[in-house]
Amino acid sequence: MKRFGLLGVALLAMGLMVAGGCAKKVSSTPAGASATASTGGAGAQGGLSEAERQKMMAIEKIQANRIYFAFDSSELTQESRQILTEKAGLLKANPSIKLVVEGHCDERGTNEYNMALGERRARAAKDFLVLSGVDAGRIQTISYGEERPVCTESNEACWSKNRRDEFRAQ
Amino acid sequence: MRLLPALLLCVLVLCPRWGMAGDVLTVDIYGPGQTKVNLFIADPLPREASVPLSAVPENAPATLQQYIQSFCAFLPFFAMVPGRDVVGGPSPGGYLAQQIDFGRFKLSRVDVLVTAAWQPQHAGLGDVELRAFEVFSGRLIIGRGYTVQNRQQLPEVAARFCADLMEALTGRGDFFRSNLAFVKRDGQRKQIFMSTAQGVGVQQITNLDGVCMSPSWSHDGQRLVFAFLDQKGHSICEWNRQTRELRRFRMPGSTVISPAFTARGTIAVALDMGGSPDIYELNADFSIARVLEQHWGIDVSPDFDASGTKMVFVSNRLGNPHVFVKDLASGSLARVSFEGKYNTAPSISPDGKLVVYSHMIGGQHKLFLADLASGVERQLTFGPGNDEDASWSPDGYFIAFSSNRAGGYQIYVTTKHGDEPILIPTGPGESFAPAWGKL
Repeated sequence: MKRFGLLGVALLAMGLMVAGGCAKKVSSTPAGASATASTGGAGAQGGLSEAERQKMMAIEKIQANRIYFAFDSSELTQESRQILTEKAGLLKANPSIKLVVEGHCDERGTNEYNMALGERRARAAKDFLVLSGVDAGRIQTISYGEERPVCTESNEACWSKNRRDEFRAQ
Repeated sequence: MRLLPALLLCVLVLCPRWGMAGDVLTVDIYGPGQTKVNLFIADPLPREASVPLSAVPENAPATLQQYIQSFCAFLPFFAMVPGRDVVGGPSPGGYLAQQIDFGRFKLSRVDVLVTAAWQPQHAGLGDVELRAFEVFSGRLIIGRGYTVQNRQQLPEVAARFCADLMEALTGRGDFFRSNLAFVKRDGQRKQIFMSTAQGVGVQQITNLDGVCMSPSWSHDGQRLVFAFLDQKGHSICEWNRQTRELRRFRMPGSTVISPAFTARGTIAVALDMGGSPDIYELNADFSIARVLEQHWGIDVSPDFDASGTKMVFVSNRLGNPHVFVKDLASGSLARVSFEGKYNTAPSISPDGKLVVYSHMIGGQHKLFLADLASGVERQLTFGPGNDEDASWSPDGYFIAFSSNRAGGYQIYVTTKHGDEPILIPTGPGESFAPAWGKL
């Protein structure tokens, strides 16, 4: 979680810089000049509106938490439902955000079945979000099967991290 | 095939002494008990004593002998006899029947003796005559002559001779007339490669920015279909072997899984259009022609027998993934796998009688074989690691699969009898998902 927090802040900072069109300015800031001042200046020069900043924060929160599954299962756990309920609230509050749900599997299953299972996992999250009031047209699903593990050791601790849904919002 | 014109193949007429039909050595590779044949491959000899073997350039005689040795090692009904076990020494004394003292080889329990005789030529490496004799009767089983232009032709000469020898003994030589497509890891990407079934002539087919999966040959071996995944999502690709053209199509739904050719040359594929993958047959333009199997559960991994009447596939409609077979004419469905809770990746034999699939046992996948007539399931592979992605050879005798039994995933071959798996060399890096096709 800590990793995602830091990653999120980094992404937000990058987003602020890119949106403000000041990436070159930052990189060309003379030694000793304040990077914070440059970034702040970009915002002050019309980079991000409050609504955009809110949206960026919502995107960060939506992407922050993954949900996890048992082996050969696409059933949502109680914890997953809570996480998805929070995401549904953020999506409803920010109707311009679109979401891609990625379904992933651990390495133990066979490739083709895992591709189908990954789809079912992504679809389970999508169905929950739609039932929670999010427009289905805003949500896409994609299965990566076992092709994109976050952990590559062959043990249950690692496998359990790979049986997951990830959320890409934009 | 390009080598064909250059590889002037001629059948030698060597006055074979045919025995009675009942005396002819044969191997029943399909029956319940497989005969073991003791094979001895003699060192090559010069065709004329006045021209030494060393006159043949590039060490071609020894290289060809090694190819024949390694190719015959893929055939589990051959037991290779080492030269030290031949009474009186390994040299047969000549390459023609009348020159060979078959008695020494009988005493050494050799059943089949292979000889090679070389004659250097001004152009190319030379001419070689290859013969296989039945030691008991002295009968010539096969005799073949080849003109070899260059070193690259040596594996093809060996494959042709081994194909004819296998066919003479078993009635089928398809193993040496077939190839494998497979997936190789390329950093974060995965590409399609192909080679002969012995791992010769490995060549890369795709260079796509994504993950290629589940290759499958058409029954005539001319078209290859596979699933592809990149940043934009899933698609289906078809590669034409003659034109080397690659076509790619986005499909309805979000997932494309396990495309396979039907017996009549159409493509079947699992698509997720209604919340769970179902199996569809496609038209030539890749539009959907009809539903082959639909259920609220997962339906993936279709595979078809050569007659096109049976389709095996995986479904989790009973709560766990299991293998099913569907009669495409009547629509009747039967469960194939009953043991365990995770049975996937089925392949049906060309005659539609046997199904091989991956069965998870003790957390690892092993190949199991189900007899559709009797319903008996039995374990086919043993040992460490996972054995996955089984694929029948066109002759219904061999089964290729991927396994990490020795570390990273590689391609191995066994038989319907569960013979000791043999590694098919496919070069550096991991290899997966073999798909057998005709040359």
